[in-house]
Amino acid sequence: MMTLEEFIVEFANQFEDADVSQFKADTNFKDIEGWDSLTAVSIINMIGKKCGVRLLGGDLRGAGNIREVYEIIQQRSQ
Amino acid sequence: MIEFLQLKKNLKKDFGKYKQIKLSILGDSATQFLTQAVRGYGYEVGLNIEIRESDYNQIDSQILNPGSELYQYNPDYTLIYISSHKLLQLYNNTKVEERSMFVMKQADYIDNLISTLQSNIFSKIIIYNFNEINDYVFGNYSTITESSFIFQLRRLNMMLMENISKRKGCYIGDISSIQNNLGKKTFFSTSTYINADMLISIEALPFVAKCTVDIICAAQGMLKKCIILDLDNTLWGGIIGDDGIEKIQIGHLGIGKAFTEFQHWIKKLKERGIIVAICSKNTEEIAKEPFISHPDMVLRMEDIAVFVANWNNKADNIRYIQRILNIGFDSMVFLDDNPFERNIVRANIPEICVPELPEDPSDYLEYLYELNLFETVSHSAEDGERTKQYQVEAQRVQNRDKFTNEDDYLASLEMVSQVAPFNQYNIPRVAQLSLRSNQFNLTTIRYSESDIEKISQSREYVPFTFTLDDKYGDNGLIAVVILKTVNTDELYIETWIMSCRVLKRGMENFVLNTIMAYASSHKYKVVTGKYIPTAKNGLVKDHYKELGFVEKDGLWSLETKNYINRKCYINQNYYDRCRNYFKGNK
Repeated sequence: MMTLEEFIVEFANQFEDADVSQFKADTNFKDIEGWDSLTAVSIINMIGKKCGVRLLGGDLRGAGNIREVYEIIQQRSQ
Repeated sequence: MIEFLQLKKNLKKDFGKYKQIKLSILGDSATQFLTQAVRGYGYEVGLNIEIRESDYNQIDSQILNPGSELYQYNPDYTLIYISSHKLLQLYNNTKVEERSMFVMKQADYIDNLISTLQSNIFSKIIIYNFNEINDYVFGNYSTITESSFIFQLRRLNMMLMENISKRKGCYIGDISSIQNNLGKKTFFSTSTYINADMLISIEALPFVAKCTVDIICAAQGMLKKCIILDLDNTLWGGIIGDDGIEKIQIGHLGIGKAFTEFQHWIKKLKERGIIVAICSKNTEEIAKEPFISHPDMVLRMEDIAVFVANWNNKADNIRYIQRILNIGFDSMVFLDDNPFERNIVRANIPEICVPELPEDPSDYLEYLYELNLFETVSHSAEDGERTKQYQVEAQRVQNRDKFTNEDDYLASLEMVSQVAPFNQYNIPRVAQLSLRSNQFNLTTIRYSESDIEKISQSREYVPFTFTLDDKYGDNGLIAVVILKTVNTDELYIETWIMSCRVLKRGMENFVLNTIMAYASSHKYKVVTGKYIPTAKNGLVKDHYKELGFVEKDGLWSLETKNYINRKCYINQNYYDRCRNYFKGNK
């Protein structure tokens, strides 16, 4: 399992105009410019490939920030 | 393969310097990612593909409604993507007793879409075939049960190949092969499908984008025409100079098998019309020995257009090969097992394509299959003769050195040219020449077979084709001129292309004499033409000037009144129907 810091970088990479420094653990990613349903699909796909965890659309909608997404993955991968 | 993320990053880059291509994408599923991938992949090959994506599931209304955005956009290419998943949904809703005939209706539907599209606009069409989905309702028995989905899907793919092969300007993007290569688990992601209704996974998108852009490149004339091969450990195992002919590895044993299969692949390319040349650091006699006497060699001397084996730098040798073949470096592929040689060639000739061959020769073929270097959008029977023509050209080059006087040399060739309009026999070759010619091409207008057919039926245009035959051999159809009537006084040369195989033989004089004869017999006062510069046609920059045309505001013109035939050593052999060109009225 990757660290939270590594995860944030991978997460940021899925945005079209990724400025990695803009992304922090408590960033509400839905406020970041470029967030849309396509980005969500990319993120879910990335998590499936890199973490081996299948998220649902609702998981992302329910999460407030990147750390919460990371925590869901940790729980599911145990 | 490049990743989707990288293709997405390309979207931010500057496309301004690249050629613009208009593409319309029509799909029955969500195509946003596909659109991004295709545009991003275009950047990789130097194309600015402007894409207009139609709304979700609008294939029918866009094609069947003459006022649709598709027709307003008037794209150069239209991509139609009907997905296997939607096909399965349709099949599921088909009555059991009708399932055996299910795809007949689908094939008609697709055929009808394409006919409608082609009758409305000039766009070339790319349609994806169907990647296989087996619902296993009948298990393996599906393969012999006509009403099963997989039976129907495979039949549809077959019908698509048969129907489209009869059409002009329409191509299949073989995404079914992509799924076979990647595996369905990689090609299709259930989560991407459920979340976004996209049927191609993010991992597979770059492959699908490449397949699409490969077709566009080929249709734009960005083709590979020649493969240059190293010998030791590329074409056979071992080193001929050290190991000797009996010790090199080729044949059915061990790694020899890999080289035999590799040679079969090269041989098939040659038979298709790709020029094969050898460039090896070796003593020439020793290097040629296996081609002449090794029983297991697949490639023989007659398969090789130019054979260069010496101890010079490979970049210089490739330049020498290029001079004989007279084609651009960007249409050449160089294969060598040695990374050092590859780098020297790359550094000296950046335009040439030098694949990073895998270390293990058993991986060569699989690696090269995936690169799909030799995409094409045409094939004519003449292609297979190409190697012979270049071998003859090499002879001709050697012979020329015997003559001190150019005129004596040209007269000695005993050249004959047949002049003909477009006809069913030469249309494929004409379209191909218009795609392949970059250097001797005044306006670089690309014509598909259907364009050529339209021109041949139009009264506005006067097309000519020229062959060239001499005592060394037949060069086939090597020049095309398309004249357009501007008004009763002026005849405009819309296109003048010539194969570089026949440069410096006085062919341009012969062609001009033919044009002027036609113009004056039809009472035109002036013949005009333009030179539209591209990165590659500098060769003909002064073409019209040298032929005596006078320029005004970019338009070159030549009066018919005082035209005196230019000197040339080519005899004419008019095709019967063409003789009528020179009689009769406008």
